Amino acid sequence: MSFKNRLAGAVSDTTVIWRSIPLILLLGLWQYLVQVYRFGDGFIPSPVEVVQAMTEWVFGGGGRYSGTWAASLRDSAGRVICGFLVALAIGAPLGILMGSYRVAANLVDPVLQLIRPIPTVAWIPFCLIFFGIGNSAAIALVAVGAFFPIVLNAMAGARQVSPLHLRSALMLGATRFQILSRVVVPSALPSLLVGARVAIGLAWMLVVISEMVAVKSGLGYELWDAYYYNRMDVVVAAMATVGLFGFLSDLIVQRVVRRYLFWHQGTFR
Amino acid sequence: MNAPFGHAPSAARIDVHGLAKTYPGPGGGVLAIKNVDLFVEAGEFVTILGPSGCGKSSLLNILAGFEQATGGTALIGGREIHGPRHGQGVVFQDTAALFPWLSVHDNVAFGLMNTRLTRRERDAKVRAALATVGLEQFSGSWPHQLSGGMRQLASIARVLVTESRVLLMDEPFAALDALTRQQMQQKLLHIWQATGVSIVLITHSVDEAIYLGNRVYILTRRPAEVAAELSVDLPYPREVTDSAFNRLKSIALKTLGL
Repeated sequence: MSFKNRLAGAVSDTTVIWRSIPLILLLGLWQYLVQVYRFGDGFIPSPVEVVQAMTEWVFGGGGRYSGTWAASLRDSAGRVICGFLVALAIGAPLGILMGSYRVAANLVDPVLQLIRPIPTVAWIPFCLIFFGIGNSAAIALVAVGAFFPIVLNAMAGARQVSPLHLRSALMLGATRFQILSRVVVPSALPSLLVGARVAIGLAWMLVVISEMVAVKSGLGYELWDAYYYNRMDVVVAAMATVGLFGFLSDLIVQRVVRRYLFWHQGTFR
Repeated sequence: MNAPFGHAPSAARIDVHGLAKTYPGPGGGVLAIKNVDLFVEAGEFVTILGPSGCGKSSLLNILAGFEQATGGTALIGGREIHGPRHGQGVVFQDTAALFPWLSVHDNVAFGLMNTRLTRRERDAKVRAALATVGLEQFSGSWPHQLSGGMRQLASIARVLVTESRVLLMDEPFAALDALTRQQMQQKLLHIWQATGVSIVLITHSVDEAIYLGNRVYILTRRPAEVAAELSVDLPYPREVTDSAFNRLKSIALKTLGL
């Protein structure tokens, strides 16, 4: 885009074409290298093979990975959503309390800071002991991972509340609880939703990991299974599925942000 | 001349005696207000004029209950001020004081949330308050869509709707351009005449202080004391080019040492 266009704020229709060129080139190069040079000694599937595997996986047609895609996607997406919601339900109120009351921050923050450096995947054994192999273990792992960006961003957001708005609410007769619910919460929302965006990305990563080791269903499970059966075409198809749905859930969070935070983009400060 | 149009039943009197404010700091702290005596009759419009940083905002923050005096007394309606509360309405200098996540209507309705009103009664009050400030067309707008002047009008409306006993204004038009500022001064006079609320307006503009106030208190440099009290016995609307206006202006400027 030229500077002229930027000044005019224009987004040209040719942008989509320009942006798709490198993708098409990359796919073409990949197909060419695998097909002509046997790049990867047969371990790397070509894009065409991936599309074939994907078709079979989605629509059926015999074989080990026939028509199970939708069920796996449903399982994984369900765990992502449940884990994310659990993290949101605990993390958002806790973060807002920590951002509003020094006592809450002093009580909780040291514990959080102690636990936070532990990689989330290190919790897998505990998740398994507490919840057993199954849905709950995966949801718990996703929730642990998604919790931290949500709680920390909610806290930062609550701390950003403008003293001017607090004073406004006080002189208009708001009670302490009303100040919390009607001033601090909306003030924390922009930051909280940034945390939610990070959290949803982490949730997809963790659901795949948990399904590889702890749960016998879902996209991660099928991905790992396909690896054992040397079906790299299915592995890539599973990778693409997770990528696509990770991208889509990010898009949804962004939509929510735009829908409910229109006032923030135009904030007059 | 006192309030010329009869004050509102809710309008309250303000009495300040020997007010002092020291901010904690090294060497005994900083004395912002030394000894201020003033009063505002119910329904009166009083302006407080002083150089920048003289402690006028501290004075207003004490009246609003945001800060506590370290000496003397400050009474609103005969009662000592204990913290910010419903009825001590404030219009801030910063035009970002409206809640950006609420529409203009909901911003104005904010101060009614603890009243026992039906939704319909509440909406009627909000509409009336917006009509008083001339923003009835913008009820459904969001603060970021309004100009600075309109935001200040909405900030006035959200105080008026609560039937506040006093309207405390901390340089409310300082962030606006000169032309808008003059329009806002005229509008404020209309609003005052329509509502009969007691107004205390802080400013560092000599013209604004004399143009608006029944009386003008001129404060000294920090630490603030009352240097002079001017009665502006001129009918509204006033002419800034009027000779009587300019006599008062030169007195004010001399008092400020200019």
